[in-house]
Amino acid sequence: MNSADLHYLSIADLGSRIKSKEISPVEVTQAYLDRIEAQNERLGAYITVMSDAAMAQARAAEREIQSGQYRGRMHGIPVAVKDIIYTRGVLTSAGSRVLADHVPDEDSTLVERLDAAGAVLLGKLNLSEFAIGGTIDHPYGTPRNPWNTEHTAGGSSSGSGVATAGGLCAGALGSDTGGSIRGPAGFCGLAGIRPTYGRVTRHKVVPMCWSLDTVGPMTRTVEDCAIMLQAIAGHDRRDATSSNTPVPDYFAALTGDITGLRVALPREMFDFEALDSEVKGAVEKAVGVLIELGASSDEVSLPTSERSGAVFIANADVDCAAFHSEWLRTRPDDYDWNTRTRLESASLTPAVSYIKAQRARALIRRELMEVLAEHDVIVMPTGPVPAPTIEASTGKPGGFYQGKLDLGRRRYTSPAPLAGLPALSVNCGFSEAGLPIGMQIVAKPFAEDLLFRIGHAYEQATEWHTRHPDL
Amino acid sequence: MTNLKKDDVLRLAAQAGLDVDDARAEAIAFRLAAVMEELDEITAEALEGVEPALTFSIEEPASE
Repeated sequence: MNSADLHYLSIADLGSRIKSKEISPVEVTQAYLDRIEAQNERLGAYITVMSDAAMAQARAAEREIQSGQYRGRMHGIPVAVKDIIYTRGVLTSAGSRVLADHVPDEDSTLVERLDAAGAVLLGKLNLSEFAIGGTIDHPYGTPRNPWNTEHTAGGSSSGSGVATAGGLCAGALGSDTGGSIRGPAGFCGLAGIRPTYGRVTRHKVVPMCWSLDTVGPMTRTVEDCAIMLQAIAGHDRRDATSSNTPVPDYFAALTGDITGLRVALPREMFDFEALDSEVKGAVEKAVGVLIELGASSDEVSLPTSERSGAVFIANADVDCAAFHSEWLRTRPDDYDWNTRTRLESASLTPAVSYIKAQRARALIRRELMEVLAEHDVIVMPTGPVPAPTIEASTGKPGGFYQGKLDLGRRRYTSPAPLAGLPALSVNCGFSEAGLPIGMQIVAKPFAEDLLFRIGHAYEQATEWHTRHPDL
Repeated sequence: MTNLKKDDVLRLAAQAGLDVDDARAEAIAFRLAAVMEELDEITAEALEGVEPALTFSIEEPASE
């Protein structure tokens, strides 16, 4: 196979060809490194490319596979991770000047698990500063949406979205506190899952909000998402919040059968005045596909979800400000303007407002769980609009990340985190301008297998996931 | 807090040990007011009997 054709193959396809020795992990890794060299300066996906280490891992994988020691579906697969995930001896910057010299002396459990699965680590991916979102000035280059480089890739897992959609890795790990996997997945035409809180370890991951942070995969297909999550999910005794709940076989869940699935459609998400008509149309069509496949749907109400953006900010930003408290006072000028403004705002939030937000969080969870007691999943758009331009999305007042639209946008991505629930974004079409549109599916705790079953069934009935940007 | 002005922010920031200039104080006032206005829409009636969310669930650690 021509190395120029390798970069958009799925993990499942690559894995099958690597297992059968049709292609070598060395060949695949080199193809990605060549593409990174050709495209990264324009796309701003990677902060650090680990060329030598990646080729060494690829050669080790090749030797093992040649000698019959096949570790599984991730063996020899080149991936990358968001630059908040610790890598021993490799810069872990969190996308900030504050950590410009931060070289950890240990790996995150996530990196250890990818290594144990035989994956090849291509490098560390760009992001919104400290995974907070809305960065104006990216110190390591501006991430650009591969579908239209004048448009944002979203955040905060921007580099993860850019690299995966642009064929600069087979898949990537991002993090999601309030939408930072689902947002870029939606904007970049990917499958991205925010797992149940506690499903995936957060050991040696720079925190944004301790009680809301999750790490999850961003891939070009739902099947790949399932493969990648399988490699990293499960209890980690080094993370006190990681769950003991057994990890099912996610790949086995990809049956394609969603007969009898009961889908809830919250009116607050479909009747929102700022919801783009193309987004609404695409998601409604996608729901129609699910119904053709055997599902049924009901309109429901999630009344407090309209305020979930503010509830999220009052919870998450305050936690975040606590983490940054010392740096904010000793080296404030090392922060991006918008990051610093958010943290300073959060630092001045009254304590009683924080507690009110914690109570509202519990109320939001109650509302979602009541709906999920009568339905299997909740479906809504991933966000209200396709990716805006980079200029429009800057964090200054009036931009995409500020004001009412910021809070309104957050009604789509805030409820699942506040409730600790898993949520999958799947590409469900493109705008007339050629920008991807995401459908979001939310399930009960630890029902990632159900999310994958639904997302995979949808992909098998459509062709959006087969399209790739022409770079 | 929905009537927060720039000067209020400057005063609070100084007390909190934060170095905030006029431009940022305006942005902070705008942002805080927007969030507080939304939170105010969640009534006491809606929150009756609702306790703050726990940070994590209590589970027995797996035996190694």
